[in-house]
Amino acid sequence: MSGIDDCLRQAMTIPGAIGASVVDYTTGFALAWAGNAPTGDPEASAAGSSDVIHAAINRAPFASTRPNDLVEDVVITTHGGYHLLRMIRTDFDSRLLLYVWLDRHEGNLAVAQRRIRILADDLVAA
Amino acid sequence: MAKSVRIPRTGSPRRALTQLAGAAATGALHIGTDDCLYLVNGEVVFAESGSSPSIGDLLTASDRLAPQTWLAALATGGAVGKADVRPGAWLVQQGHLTHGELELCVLGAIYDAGYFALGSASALLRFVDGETHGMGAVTSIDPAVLVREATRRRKLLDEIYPEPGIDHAVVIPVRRPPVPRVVLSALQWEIVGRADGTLPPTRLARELGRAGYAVLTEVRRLAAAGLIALPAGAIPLVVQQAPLAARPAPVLPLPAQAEPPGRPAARGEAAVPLRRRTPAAAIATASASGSGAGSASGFGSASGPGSGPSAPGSSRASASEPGSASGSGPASGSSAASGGGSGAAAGGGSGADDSALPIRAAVPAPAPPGSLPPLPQRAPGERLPEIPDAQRTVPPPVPADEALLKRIRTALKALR
Repeated sequence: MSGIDDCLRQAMTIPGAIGASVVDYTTGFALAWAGNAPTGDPEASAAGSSDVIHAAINRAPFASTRPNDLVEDVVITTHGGYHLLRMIRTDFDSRLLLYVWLDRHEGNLAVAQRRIRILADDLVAA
Repeated sequence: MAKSVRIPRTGSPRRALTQLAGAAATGALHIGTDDCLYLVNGEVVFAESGSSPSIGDLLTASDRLAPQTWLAALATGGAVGKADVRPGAWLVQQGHLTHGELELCVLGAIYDAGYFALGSASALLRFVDGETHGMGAVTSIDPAVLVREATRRRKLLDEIYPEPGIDHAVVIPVRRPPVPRVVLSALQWEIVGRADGTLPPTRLARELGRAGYAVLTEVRRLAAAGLIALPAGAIPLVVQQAPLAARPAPVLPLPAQAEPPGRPAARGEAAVPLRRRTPAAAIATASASGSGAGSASGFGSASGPGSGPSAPGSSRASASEPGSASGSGPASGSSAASGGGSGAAAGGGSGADDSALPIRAAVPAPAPPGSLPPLPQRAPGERLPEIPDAQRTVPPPVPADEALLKRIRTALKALR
């Protein structure tokens, strides 16, 4: 049984994880979160991560013209951290992403990306 | 303790929800005729709205579940002796859905339905103590968060295009886009493809199996881009009539709604009072005044197809004096146009007798596809039909502008 809370709990076990949330990027709303958010306000970071995803999927250069070549994730690297935005693809209509904030020195980007991909897939795949 | 809460028969759904949350009530808050919020111990566990697609709509329209599977799940939930097995749990047990999918789907549906349920400033309210929904409690949401999110969603819509009437009006794509190149999102493509000139956004959402609020968002974006007709009573329309009246014979009246909001040049004529609200003010008035967006009754005359025949009249009546004075603008404009003059303009002018399509009647330029009277087909080389003199419309002789002629003559003389 892997529900939303379980998914977030596992995301927080990724080395260096500081915070994780499931965000509805239609409106930039955090459906659920765990740990801390960059500004201390999960709703503000949800709105921010939604803006980033909208830029990535709606602005032409990033949205591929080939069918089904969809944006999978966005990584923002700052001096102190990694911000990973992973699309959660459901068959039914939803616009969701999994957002994980990692400490740059404790975290490993490749490991985190892989773990988050598996988490996002497991959340919606049998 | 829940019994101590007294919900008024008519009132603000938000206030009622807050009261019930404070009393940790368990039961169903019926709002209006179509909407319902289910509470357990003061937390919202499910919500349904006639305006948003149900869980079943979402899961079956996307082919995630076969309709038979969904019906089987519903039957399981209601079966005698299996009251503890809910449809959602059954779907997860049987491997049709993952627990995560169920949670995400239900959460999305609650926020979606909650937006519509909590949208009106005042509605008929009825709280049934102890009533639960067949889906059970898959998840729970703090009512304060639900109310805040509903408010925020309204604000986001008004930031796109502050014309709430669009949410209730039939979606009619314009015949010709106002720009040479149009870029649509995937959902906008679906909306435009399905819009047949009879469906409002909420119906489109159900047909498409898309979240109601997401469709509202995209429809407002389409309106802001001038790609769909604005409903009667929409703000640019009132102002649009003034420039149209000033120009005598517009062949194809440029739809002023093509202009994005907030560009004052197009709507010029500050004499016409703008019933425009700033986004922030819109939220305040939406919940306070009857003319607000949320109350379906407030926009009945503007958008409801049922009230169609009266739409042109009432929209004119509701406009203030300068607006109604210029209301006859398009009609006189199109009659002054030449005989074949622009079916589109005529469609706008003769709105009163075309009661079947209220939206088209009130919107000058865009009409649903195929609604223009088709021109008669002629075989190549066929002679033009004879028109009896009685029927021939002779344009009234234009009095010569002597001053202008004099200036032209003077200019010509100077050229010699």
